[in-house]
Amino acid sequence: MTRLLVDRATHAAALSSMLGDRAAIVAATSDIDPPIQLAQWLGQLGKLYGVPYRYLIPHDLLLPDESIRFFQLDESWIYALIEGACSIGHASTTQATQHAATSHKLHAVAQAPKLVDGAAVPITGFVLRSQVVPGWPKLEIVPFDANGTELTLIRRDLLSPSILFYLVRGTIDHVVLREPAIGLHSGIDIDGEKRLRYVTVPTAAPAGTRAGDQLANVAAAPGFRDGGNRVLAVDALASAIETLLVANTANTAPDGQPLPFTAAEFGLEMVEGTQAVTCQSGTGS
Amino acid sequence: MPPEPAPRAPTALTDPDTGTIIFIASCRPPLPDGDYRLTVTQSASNAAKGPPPGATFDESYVNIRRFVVRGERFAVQQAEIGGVFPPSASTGEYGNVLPHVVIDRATLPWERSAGDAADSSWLALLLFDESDPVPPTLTIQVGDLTPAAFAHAEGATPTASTLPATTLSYPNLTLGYGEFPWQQCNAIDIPVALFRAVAPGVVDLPWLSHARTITPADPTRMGLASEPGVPVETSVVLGNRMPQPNARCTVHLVSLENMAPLLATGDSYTSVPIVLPGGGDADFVRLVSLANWSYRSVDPKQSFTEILKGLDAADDFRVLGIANASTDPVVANALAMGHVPLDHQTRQGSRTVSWYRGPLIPFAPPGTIVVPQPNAANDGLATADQALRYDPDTGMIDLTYAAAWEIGRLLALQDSEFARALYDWKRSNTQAVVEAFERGVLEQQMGAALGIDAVGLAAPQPMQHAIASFIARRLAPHLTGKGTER
Repeated sequence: MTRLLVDRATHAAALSSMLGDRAAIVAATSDIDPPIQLAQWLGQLGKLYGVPYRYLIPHDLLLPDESIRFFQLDESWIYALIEGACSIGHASTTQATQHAATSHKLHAVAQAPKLVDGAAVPITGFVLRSQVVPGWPKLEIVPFDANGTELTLIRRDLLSPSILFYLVRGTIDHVVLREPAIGLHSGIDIDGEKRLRYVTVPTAAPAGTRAGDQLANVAAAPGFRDGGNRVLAVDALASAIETLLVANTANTAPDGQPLPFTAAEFGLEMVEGTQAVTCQSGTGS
Repeated sequence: MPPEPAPRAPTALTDPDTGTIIFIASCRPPLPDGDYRLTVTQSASNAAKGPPPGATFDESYVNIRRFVVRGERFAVQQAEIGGVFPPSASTGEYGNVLPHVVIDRATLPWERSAGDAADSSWLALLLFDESDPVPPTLTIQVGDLTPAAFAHAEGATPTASTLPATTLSYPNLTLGYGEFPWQQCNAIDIPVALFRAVAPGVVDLPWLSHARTITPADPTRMGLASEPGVPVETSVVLGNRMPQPNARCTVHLVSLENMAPLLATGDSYTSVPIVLPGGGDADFVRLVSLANWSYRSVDPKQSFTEILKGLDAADDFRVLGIANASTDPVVANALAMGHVPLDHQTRQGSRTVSWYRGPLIPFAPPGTIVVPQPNAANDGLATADQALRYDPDTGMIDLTYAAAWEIGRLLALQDSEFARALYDWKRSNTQAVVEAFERGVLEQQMGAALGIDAVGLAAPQPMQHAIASFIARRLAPHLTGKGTER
């Protein structure tokens, strides 16, 4: 009986020392990976999902109206964030020790979505605060690194209706912001003329011309209906464009016959080109 | 010190190259909306020559099936409006822009007809300026498009229509299958003179609608869900009127179904009389409004390129920090590195100002984690206070990582499912440690008896093998009585 009590006391002491022994914990838990649910949640948190706006942009001066700001992600900040998230439920030193011995796995799953072929790369991105964000909801964004390679998107989100948050793998050097092709708009030129576009490309066209490019120095003159209401005489404009296209062999079948001019060709001719703007990140200080 | 490089302004790109767009004159549905009757007739007769009496027959069997192709007529689902330009509620340089609407259903404009010779689209965009003025949008019932009394609810007794006596709506409107006079719709009443001035002429109708098939090179760039190479089919309706500069204008997507006889004719836009069904000239024309939006056209500084070129280019857009001209190197450095001084209420209740910096920083961070660690063993952070940094020179506290730790903890506590999953994972770790310990004790206690020594804690096999061999070689003979040993 005495021996049993002695054994129990010895075992209790041994167990508590083992629960405080990092090497033993690491050995015993080596094959227990965090479940997928934890991995997903921490992966999202690693991309800053859920972090309130004020924690990201703590001061309005950091991101004034009509501005774009490039940034690098501070992995130390993410480390502290994940540590905080995984700290819940610690009530004793034993639990803290166990956490310290196993938390590297939690940090690993939080980083997993941001790796390229298993290797860590810098995570960078930009915040754009502009009227462009609500005005062009399908805004096309192409991020490049310094070598001109397109980077992979990690997160694209609106932090508010007018603030776009964009995160990529790799070091962003410049980004092309483009009007969405779906939003191609139509109209006449600012100078009141309507420059024409090639429907078919004649051999006489400059080298490299593609269908849809504008003809040099060929413009129709749009007319308006009477009454000063700025109502376009659409049919007359369509006829004028058709005549000019035929005259420039820009809507012609291979056998030289003019192709039909329909609402499709008219739609193409009325398109005002989409615009694209490049924003270049600085080299840093 | 080298001269500072001039800030690089955003530059316009000259060669956008993304996928393809195919323009299509019209995308007509195989079957227009309407009631259909399918009749199948089968005739059978005795074709033999000189059939015996009683064997002649010549009969027909007719089978009739009816079906309806339904389309939208008095309202369209807002989800089908894929986009409008100029953007709704926007302000921009739209003086030379014809408004357009992109409809996600490629066939919608041709599912009904304006009733002209070319069978043109029933949809049209009418633009109204503040000074026209803009006709108010009325919420009416479909029956209010006809002068006759109609039932205002299912099964109700017909009561008078609200269509004013001098307003003309769609002549000879008849409701199809599944369309009821009590359905709600939006409409606008346009003065006849304005209608004549701004509605497209009959000759314009075929030009104002077309379909587009867009194949984006990389849909993720636009935040589209579709796969690369999968075309997006849309139809586009163009307006025919430019907005008045510096004025608010409203665009209505209206139905012109069978209205072609009321539109101006010829290239000189000759007006036609708009006569009420009972005789006499109409004062107003009532049209169904399927969608509307408004925008403001202003100076040319508001185009896509101009807005982006006008972006604040301070310090190469690089610094997510506050531009400052402080001569104090500590302050200047901290601000330029993205730190912000914020009010800080300390645990003791006193108030001070401390530094904070978000996760988005204006310089390349070191590749390693630099959060202050409480000890060299890399034990992680057990409390937020462990991540506080204190600068003895200035007396300022840096809350950056403490705040990050705290918000991470709050986010985790907010999500009970995550909290439970984390708890389960930690418990499974504890269990693994305890199991390993139990194995170790058993092996220590019984190892000598089983003839094994120095067994690892983590590997269960030696123990099991030892027990198995103990049972087989030493215990079994006594139990089965066949033993010869000893």
